[in-house]
Amino acid sequence: MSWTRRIVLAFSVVLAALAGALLTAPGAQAHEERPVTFPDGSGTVPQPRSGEPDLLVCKTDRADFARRISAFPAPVKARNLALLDRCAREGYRHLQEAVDAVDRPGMTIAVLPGLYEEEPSLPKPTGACAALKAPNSSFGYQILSYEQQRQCPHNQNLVAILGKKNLQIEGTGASRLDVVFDAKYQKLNGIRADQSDGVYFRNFTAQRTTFNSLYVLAADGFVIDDVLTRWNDEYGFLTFASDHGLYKNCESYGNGDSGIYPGSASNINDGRGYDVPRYSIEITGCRSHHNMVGYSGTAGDSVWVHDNEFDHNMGGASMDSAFPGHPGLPQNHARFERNLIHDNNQNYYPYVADGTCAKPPVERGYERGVVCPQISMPPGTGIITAGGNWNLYEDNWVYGHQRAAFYLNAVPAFIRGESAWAKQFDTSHHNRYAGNHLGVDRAGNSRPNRTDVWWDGQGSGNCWQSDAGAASPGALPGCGERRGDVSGDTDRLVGEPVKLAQLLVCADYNVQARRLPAGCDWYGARGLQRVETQLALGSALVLALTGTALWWRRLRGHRLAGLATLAGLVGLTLDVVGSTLALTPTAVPALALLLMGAWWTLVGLALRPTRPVFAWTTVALGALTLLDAFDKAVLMVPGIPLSPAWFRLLLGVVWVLWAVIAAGTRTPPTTPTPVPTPGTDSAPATAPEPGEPELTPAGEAAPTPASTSASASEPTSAPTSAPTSASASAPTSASAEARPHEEGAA
Amino acid sequence: MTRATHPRGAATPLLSLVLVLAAALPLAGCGGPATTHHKPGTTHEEASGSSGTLLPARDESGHRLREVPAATAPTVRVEARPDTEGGWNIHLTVERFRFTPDSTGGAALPGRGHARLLTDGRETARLYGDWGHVPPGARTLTVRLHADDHTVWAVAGAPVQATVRLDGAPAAPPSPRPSDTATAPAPATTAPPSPRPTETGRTVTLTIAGKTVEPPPSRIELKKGERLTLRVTGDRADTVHVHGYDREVPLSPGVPAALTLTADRTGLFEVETHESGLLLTQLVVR
Repeated sequence: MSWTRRIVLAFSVVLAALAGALLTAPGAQAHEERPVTFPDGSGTVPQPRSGEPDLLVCKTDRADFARRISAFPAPVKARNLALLDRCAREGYRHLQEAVDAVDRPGMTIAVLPGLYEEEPSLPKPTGACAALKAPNSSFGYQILSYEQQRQCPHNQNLVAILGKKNLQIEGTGASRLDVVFDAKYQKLNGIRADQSDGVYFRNFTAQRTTFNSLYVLAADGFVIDDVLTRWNDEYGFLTFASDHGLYKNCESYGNGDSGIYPGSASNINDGRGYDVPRYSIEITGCRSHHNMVGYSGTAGDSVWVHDNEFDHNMGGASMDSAFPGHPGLPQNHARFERNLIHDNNQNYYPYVADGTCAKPPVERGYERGVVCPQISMPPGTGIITAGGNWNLYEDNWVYGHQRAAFYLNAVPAFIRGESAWAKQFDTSHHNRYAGNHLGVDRAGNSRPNRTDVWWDGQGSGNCWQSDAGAASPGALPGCGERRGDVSGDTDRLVGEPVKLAQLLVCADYNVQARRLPAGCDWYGARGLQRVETQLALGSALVLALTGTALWWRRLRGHRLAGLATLAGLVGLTLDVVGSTLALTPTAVPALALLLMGAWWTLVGLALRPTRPVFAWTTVALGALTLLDAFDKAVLMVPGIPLSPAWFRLLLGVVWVLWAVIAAGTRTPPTTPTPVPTPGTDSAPATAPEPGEPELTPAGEAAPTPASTSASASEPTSAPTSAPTSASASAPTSASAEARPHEEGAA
Repeated sequence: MTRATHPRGAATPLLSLVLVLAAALPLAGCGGPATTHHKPGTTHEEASGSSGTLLPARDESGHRLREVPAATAPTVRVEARPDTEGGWNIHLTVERFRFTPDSTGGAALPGRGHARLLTDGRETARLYGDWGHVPPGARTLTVRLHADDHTVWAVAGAPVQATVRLDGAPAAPPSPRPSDTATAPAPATTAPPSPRPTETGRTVTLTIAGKTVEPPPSRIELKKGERLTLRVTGDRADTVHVHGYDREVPLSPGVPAALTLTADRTGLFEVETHESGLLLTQLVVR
């Protein structure tokens, strides 16, 4: 790392520390689980078995059964009738009883059509199970060890499958809605398969829990096939720290976090590039809709997600590295292909604001469409990547989003609890967005996204397809034909300052406290309410006042400087206008920067004679601003560790202070004032004469032959006499504006 | 070892943090256990309430009754207005009840489910909201509240339901009757938590044209204690007589007449017209 990079790094850290201090609210973990590690990867994806089941589960009401199967196709009906006869003799009435009867690997349990409430699992724990010694999570439930789960399987689970190998559980109905497991919000988990390698779930529905409906933990080998989950506080499907997994033809909706969550999928491709030998989990043919997000992947490593539909969520899919305790962070190697990701514009935050989500889960009304978003996220987005590497997003249809198709930002490692210095900048790199169908549906109809890309600008090796539409920043690194080819690559340590400010404000969300940050458009802020516009307006006011004062006090007679200042004011106005949601992805912000850059550059040049150091500083500020405009609109400048906006911001602060001093200081005239009528007051009151030929301020004129005329030795208005020739170096010059006139008079 | 915290998977959000880059500074020194910067989510409070008690009793369609205390039971009222193109528009007013069409088939949860419409004692439709329509021809409408698992919400052993008489011909081609259509001509008979649900019980509609009875005479099977309403429309002046119970009701041509009785005696009883001597039906009470 070069020394310049180190400096930048150190600087970033300071910024971050400031921000971090603001952010580090007392944390409560969302869901805590016992420590788990990845399986060793020696398993396989289980294959379905179609033979006669080993164990049967059914209800005994034959009339009810007859109604349920009355519309089945004849063969399915016949099979169910046969199974019912057998089940009446030797079957179980609850799934848990059948699971408990599993005594060898490779058994199959068939569940006949019916509603399964698993009543024996429902009573609250008593005896030893009510007095387990285990740490409490912040939500009041205990973080149980595996042994404790075995001891008390129903403290948290409606159905607990613990340590069974290659177990298959299948519904025998004509559709997955014919077998329903309903936890009625009385358990944290619906069906939990813990350390049960090779488990195969097929053809049923699980619903209404206070955490997730179907939970696979620490499994090497699992399949979720044609299963529906819905109405959970957090997830429909949660498969954690698992390998050799397959989701297919599944559906999930009505979840406060995501429908599908392959969290901490086995991190088998860590250290590799785009070419990988296999993926740990495959997800295909699933639909996830009306959740906070359709798919989420904190540490969703090496997940191959193809041919699914994620629609009508707040966000279609997200992967991130933002939460501690997930094995396999930072997130890497997800591959999204041929998915339909569209119309993810739901906004469920009003349910937090109006108190609906403060009620107990059973009363929130999930069945009627209520979703209680557990965390902060930008509604109206297709795919969010908040800290992730080597992800491939190719050949997807992404359309109809009111915010953005793709959202990418970095997350430093301390957010996930890792403090090692070298890890702080380990996201987001090498994410490839190529060959997607943006703003069109599969039939080819135009369904534009408001913007196609939102990127904070951080990271290296990220690239986007060249046909992406409106984007922020406007100029993006482009993807080449082959994976890994990137044109216009950049490598920045920190994102754009305004975007970081926005993220900072937006993160201050608290569902329990019903706190929806007022300045963040994720929660409905518009116009002047948005922090971006407030920042733009505040800084525009300061700069406008400073710039105007500077011109008035130092450059009033300077026509070009006047025009430049005017341009600057227009630029500042455009900067405010361009900070609004609608205009951010347009050319307006860059145009604003262009005008402001021209302003500072010209004013700086005009100031050169009197205050060379300040003048060149001003010119530098102008140049940085022009560079920033170039960076945002034309081409992201490669090879710099921070965007020009950061340098501009820092220099801008210095410049404002300096300009205030320059404009406000009252000093004696320091240059000769060749007023023809000695004894009269100095010239400030007199106007420049038309046709004034001299463009430069008088300070520069002093050394010219004209100013060295006899009058130069005649200080006039000065309360104290100043050296006649050294004026150019005076820090301030109250009479500078008079000089062109004087010179002209001379 | 740090705890595995799952989920938050999601979303990410967090993004934010981003910037923050480094709060690394403070962290580096202390190196404590991992904590998330993520704020607490909603409560995950597990429900413990009951969804009532299943009774052995079933309604006419075979659905079990689910008993709940009157104080927490849902209630329903119904109002019917003639539709200008025929039939009746009906409006339900429910309390302590939400329609949950998407979870029909799931477990019963308190205060939610759907309504079923029984016209002239026969189940004809479900309602998943508070408005519906009943086609012309019906004489009475009963609205009954069911839970997601199809059981019937019940108080004191009787279904939660409301019944309204759809009197007067529901203007098939509606003759302009401004005053009638403006105000509900069918006064809403409401029976909120209807403790006496089977007020009208089953209703059987018979029509006499000349010597023909429609439907053709057959047997009506009743349980002892069940209530029955006979609704008879004749084409001439006559009298309907129920033997055994010795109940009568006069008939005017074209005007429906109703006779309601409680089948409190077992046996086989004939229903006849006095003047024309037609056998209308037989009642079998067991």
